[in-house]
Amino acid sequence: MQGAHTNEGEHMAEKTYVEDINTSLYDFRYEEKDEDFYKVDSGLTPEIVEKISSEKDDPEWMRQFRLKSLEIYNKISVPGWGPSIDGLNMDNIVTYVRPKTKMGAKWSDVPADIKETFEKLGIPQAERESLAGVGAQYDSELVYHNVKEEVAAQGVIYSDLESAMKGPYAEMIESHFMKLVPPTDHKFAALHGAVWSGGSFVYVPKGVTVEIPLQSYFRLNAPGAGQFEHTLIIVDEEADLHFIEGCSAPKYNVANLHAGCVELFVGKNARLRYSTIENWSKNMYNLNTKRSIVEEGGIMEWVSGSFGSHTSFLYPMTILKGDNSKMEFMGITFAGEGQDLDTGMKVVHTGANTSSFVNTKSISKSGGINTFRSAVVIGKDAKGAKSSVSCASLMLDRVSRSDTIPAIDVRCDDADVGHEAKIGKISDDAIFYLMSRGISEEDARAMIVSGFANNVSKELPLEYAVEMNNLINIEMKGTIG
Amino acid sequence: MDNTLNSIMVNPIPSKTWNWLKMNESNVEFPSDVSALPEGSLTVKAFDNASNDASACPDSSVFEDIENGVGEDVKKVLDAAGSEPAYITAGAGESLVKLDFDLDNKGRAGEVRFYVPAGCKMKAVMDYKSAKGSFALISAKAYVEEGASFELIQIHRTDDDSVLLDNVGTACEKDAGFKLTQAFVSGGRIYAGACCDLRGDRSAFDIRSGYRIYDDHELDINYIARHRGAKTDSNINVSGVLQNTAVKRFRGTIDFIYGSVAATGNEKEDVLLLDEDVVNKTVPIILCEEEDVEGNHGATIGRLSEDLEFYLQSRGLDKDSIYKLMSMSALMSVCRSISDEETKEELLGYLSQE
Repeated sequence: MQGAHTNEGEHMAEKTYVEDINTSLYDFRYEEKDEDFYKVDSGLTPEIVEKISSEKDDPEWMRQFRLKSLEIYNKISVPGWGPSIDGLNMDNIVTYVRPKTKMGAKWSDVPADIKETFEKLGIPQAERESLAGVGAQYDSELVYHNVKEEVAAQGVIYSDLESAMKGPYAEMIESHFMKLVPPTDHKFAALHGAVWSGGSFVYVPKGVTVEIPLQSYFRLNAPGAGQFEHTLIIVDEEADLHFIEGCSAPKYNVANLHAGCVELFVGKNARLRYSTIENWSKNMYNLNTKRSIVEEGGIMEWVSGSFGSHTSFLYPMTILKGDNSKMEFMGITFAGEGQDLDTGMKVVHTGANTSSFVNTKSISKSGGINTFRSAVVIGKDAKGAKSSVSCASLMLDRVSRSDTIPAIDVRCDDADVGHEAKIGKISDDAIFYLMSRGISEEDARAMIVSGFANNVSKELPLEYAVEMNNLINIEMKGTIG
Repeated sequence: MDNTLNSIMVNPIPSKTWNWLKMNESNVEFPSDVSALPEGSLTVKAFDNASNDASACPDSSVFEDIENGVGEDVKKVLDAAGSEPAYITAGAGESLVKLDFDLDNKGRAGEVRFYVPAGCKMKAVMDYKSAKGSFALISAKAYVEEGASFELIQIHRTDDDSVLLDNVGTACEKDAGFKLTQAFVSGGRIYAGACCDLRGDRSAFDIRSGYRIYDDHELDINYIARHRGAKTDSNINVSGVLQNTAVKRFRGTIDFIYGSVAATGNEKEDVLLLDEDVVNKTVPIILCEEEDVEGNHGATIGRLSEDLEFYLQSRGLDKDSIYKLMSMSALMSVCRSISDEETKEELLGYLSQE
């Protein structure tokens, strides 16, 4: 993810300068030969769901769960709000594409084409330099999963979800899987319940602090396919974890679909930071669901950068169940040409003395549409709850759009809720000043936008902050004239 | 009253959000035998320099495409009531109109259309009182010509067991201004919607609204500022107090439509929660498809600050007195801003007796 890379072992170029980056960084592809991949038919039928279940050798409860989810999917209508998803035809989506290879714990075991994909994305280098463990998913299946010995020695479990479901953590998974995001939640949660595949399971035992982050990277390579990975993270009492999620795909002329699901359980006095840099290709419908529940004294931190996708519905949700639990959300969304990105967050305070702090930025240019959508709900028992939401939107031209739709529902008098939103353009005075100091207009605008996004990038590990700033610089190319 | 009820959608927000929040719109059941306002339910207390002769209205067609704040289902109720709109046209210079509504315990609906010709100024006061069991829809439409201004002051003193749909729809041409002041003094269920179409360059829309909702009463608000013209300006300022098991929903939208270059819009809501069983819902929206605009909204929702409570106690007020004082604070503040002295004094006197 951190740099352009051609072959394993070659020196990886540092992406220190914008010139090192080109817009095709993520937009490369390999033609998938039929003999190398197993696919189910496109569309969604009980037979296809049964086939996926059989392919994955699901336990019986999971098979039943998938079929029930499909029933729910067929009963629920698409949302009556948000961006149009008319361009998404489920009859054309292949819900399961599996490379004909087994998941390995060594990069050398991963097939050459797939390995080269992840090397271009910088995953092996990142693993060596800055991560405690890595999972790499290609289309519907994980092709690589590994965790550093010292982290494993702490009792940290980081594995693919399917294997974990059949091992010693089977009961834990059954009791947590889609309990936070039930298939009845919305149509695409039901779809996920029916056809989910791949994803990671993380368990951090009581009192354990994982010093450096774990990362999962999701790559969807097959045209017209869907990716439905499930991430389940349980951070036990007084434990601490930073989990990073990255995603990308090459661009095709047909719609691709990502309907993943992330369920996060933060124990008493535990802390979980979940960082995402999403750069799906601009033919992707990103209908992802993320939710976390936080016990007494626990802390949930979200850092979210959304740059890709054709259409996004993405609102990480936090339930502050335990007294004195906290949530922080830092997000940035950058919508360019052809993109309709509906992003934001939801928080429900049910515990006493809970607090939430939200700071988001959105940037619209070249006809891109940004919507910040949020919900802050203070329940009846959330005495002493505090919530602060701040969102700022930047319009870079007259052909784009930016909407802010926050909702606040307070059912407790002992609460303190604040909300503020601002929308506007880049100050002409600031551009003029920077140009008077010898900076080109394009660079001046990129510099101002990077500064605008600083609240998010400063929360990321350095290499990821550089990555995010590079993405902004790429998006800002050609914004003049 | 006929018990057969029809449901209408009221106060829809221009851009929907999650259905589970139940904030996208409200639904109201109205009696199917709803009829026009009878003689005596509307009294004109003052009529200075304005005409209520329909023929004095230069162009009645201008009202047809003015958006309703309460929503387009308003037309269904008005059609069912078969009521003909009343027309009030401002005269040269400044005009003042005072309309007292005394609503009976039937289903009633009616519309008043205000026409403010170019360069004229008109002020209208609409004072609503209702009987137990009243269901009423009162619609106020205004067309404000170039360089004209219209100020509408609405006072709601409805019965605890009543339903009032208070619809406002206005269009402002170039350099025109519309100021709306609403004081929600008492109870029942009130659905108040106001939409202003800022179609003319440099036109302006200003709302000042205050409420005190108590017992099991409900207030449901929907304000929409549509910025179409260049350099248009809107200010939405709402403050209120909730007590007992009161429910309040506030929806406010600033919509910067393509072409509203250099427009500005500000929206602010302050809510004081004085009892643990109140329900407060707020959706402050900004929609923007124009680059060169400035939009801001803010909301603060919470209980009485301990510092303020301590200060007031140190000045000799006991807790009951402090809460009583604070419960009237937002309303008092709005009342003091009413520009018609007679109305202001009468209302302040009324509130002081509460």
